[in-house]
Amino acid sequence: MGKEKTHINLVIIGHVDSGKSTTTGHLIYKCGGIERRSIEKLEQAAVQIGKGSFKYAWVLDKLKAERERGITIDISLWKFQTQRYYFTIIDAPGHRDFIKNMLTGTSQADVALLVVSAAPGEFEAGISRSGQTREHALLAFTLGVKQLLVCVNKMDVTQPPYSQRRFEEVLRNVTVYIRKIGYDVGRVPFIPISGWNGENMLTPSPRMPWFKGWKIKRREGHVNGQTLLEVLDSILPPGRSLNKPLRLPLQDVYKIGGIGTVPVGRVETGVLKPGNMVTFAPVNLTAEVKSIEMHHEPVAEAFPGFNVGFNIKNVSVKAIRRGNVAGNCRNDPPTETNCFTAQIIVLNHPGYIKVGYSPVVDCHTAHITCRLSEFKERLDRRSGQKLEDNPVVLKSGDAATVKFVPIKPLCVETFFEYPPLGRFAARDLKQTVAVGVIKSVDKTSSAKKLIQKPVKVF
Amino acid sequence: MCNSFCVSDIAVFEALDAPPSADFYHALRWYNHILSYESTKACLPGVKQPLGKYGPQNVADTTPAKAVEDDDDDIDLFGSDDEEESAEAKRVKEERLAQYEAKKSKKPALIAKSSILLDVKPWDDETDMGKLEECVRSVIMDGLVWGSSKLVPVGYGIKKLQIQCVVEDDKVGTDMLEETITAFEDCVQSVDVAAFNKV
Repeated sequence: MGKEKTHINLVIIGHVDSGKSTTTGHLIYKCGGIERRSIEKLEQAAVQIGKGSFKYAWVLDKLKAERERGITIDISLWKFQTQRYYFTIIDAPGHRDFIKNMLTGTSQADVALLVVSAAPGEFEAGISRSGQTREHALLAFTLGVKQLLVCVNKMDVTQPPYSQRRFEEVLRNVTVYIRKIGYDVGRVPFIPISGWNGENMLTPSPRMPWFKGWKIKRREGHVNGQTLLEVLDSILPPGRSLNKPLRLPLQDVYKIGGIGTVPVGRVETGVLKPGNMVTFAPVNLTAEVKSIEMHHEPVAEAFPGFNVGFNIKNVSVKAIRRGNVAGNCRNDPPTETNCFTAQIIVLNHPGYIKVGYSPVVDCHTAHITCRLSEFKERLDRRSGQKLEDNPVVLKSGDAATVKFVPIKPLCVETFFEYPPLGRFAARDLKQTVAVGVIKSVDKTSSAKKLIQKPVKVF
Repeated sequence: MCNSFCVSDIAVFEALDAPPSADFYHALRWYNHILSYESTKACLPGVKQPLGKYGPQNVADTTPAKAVEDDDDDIDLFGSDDEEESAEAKRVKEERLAQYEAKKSKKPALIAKSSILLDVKPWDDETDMGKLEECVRSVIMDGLVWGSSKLVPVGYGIKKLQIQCVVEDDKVGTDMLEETITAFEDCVQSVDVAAFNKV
């Protein structure tokens, strides 16, 4: 385990014309993310029809066409590796449901890569008010994606090509923009690239000798380098969720003949082992784990990120369900949430939200209607500073601290302790009306009586 | 362009600084008609676009760049565009935006699509996965194309169906897909999105 490379989810954001798909494709292509056989086949075809010099572009177009037809599953899970990490790429679509998926889905982002185009006019359009880029960048920041990288793309088509002036102009503008969102700009590296030609991607570009390299100034030590690949290798790995108490939200519960009840879910924090006594919340049931399997193979220890099934004793398949959370009964077991307080940002709501509004909250695998019972404060989105006490209404664009009361039993956690169980999307009118992170949870329910103080295991 | 009176009329109207001459009597008739709506033009349906967007395709916009103003009525999600721009910087920016618009209008409009990988889970190890797949593929929606699929072992003899689809962003949502597929409640326990990418 210790020897394995850490896994990182990288979300790529940018305007439609930023060339982010080309950049992504190029990176994956060069870093061995696409099966060699498919590439060889395409490369041969490219040579045959005389596309030699446009090989990459041609192959990328072919792959895109294949993707569009949904033929190869492996293409939809884009992965590549650097010296230190395994990356899974999420090429952010403009789809309205993507935000909810980024919050609650299986591929929550650890790092965001913002691609902006340096081409004349494209940069100006991409950063305009209505662009999706702003929304994605703001959400990434709000939801705890604190590491941001910026690629200034299409340096090959600036006027004149590879213009240092243009790069600096774009850099200045983007710096203002991401500072407004809340990013510490000293920690954000900027790299001038050409995703199309591959300049500064894997090796330093001879066409931009003026580029003295990117820098990241952070507490953990300053780093610098020249290429995109080096930036990717220098990011900080996500916090070790391994040492935290176990949290495993259930996706499904199966009844298997001759075996019994098998809940399935992904380990978000901590470790699950056969022999553990696990508690399910909010139903408050405890059972022993007899065995664990992943891909039909027995597993001795399930770590964060593992999607596992486990067999439990003496619990009926009807007693637990999707949305329940399993934890170790002797180490901060999960409990029912009476109510919780969250910082939210209102999006896409056509009117005004008042106390009593009750959207569906999607948090980990749970979907429960919650009532907004108190608006505590309205906040400045960037600084988090208070603007107003007890606001009467909230509208699109507002940030606020709000108390939520679930109308059915629910188990959530604070974002600080268990990030994947502490971020959520609120839905109404078939769209995401707000996103939020949970600041505090009130667990003083009847379940509390049955639980002793957390006991340190080992 | 719409047949009823809408913002496109205003866009064209405002581009003219005087009534058309009497030789263009149809145009003059239209001009006077629009003039009569002067007081109500602020509350018209539709989204106003740069002038070049109206009329025949592939004709470059020859009107000045002022058509490409920021639409300040947008929901201002991020607010505070308070940087002071010099007149010169503003002019350069607008010039570039105009260039961009002109270039953009010559490109065919791209339909935004996403590639979604779904995990469809059965109830137990005895669910007929062939039938489950048949049910999923029987879902037909405008803007939805099913792609390839495979069965992925989960554990204890249970398999899930992993199936790819490509959707048009404006037409198909993940909630819709989820609801429609879980409606086959005899064989489907749940649906999860395993991957979601731009095409």
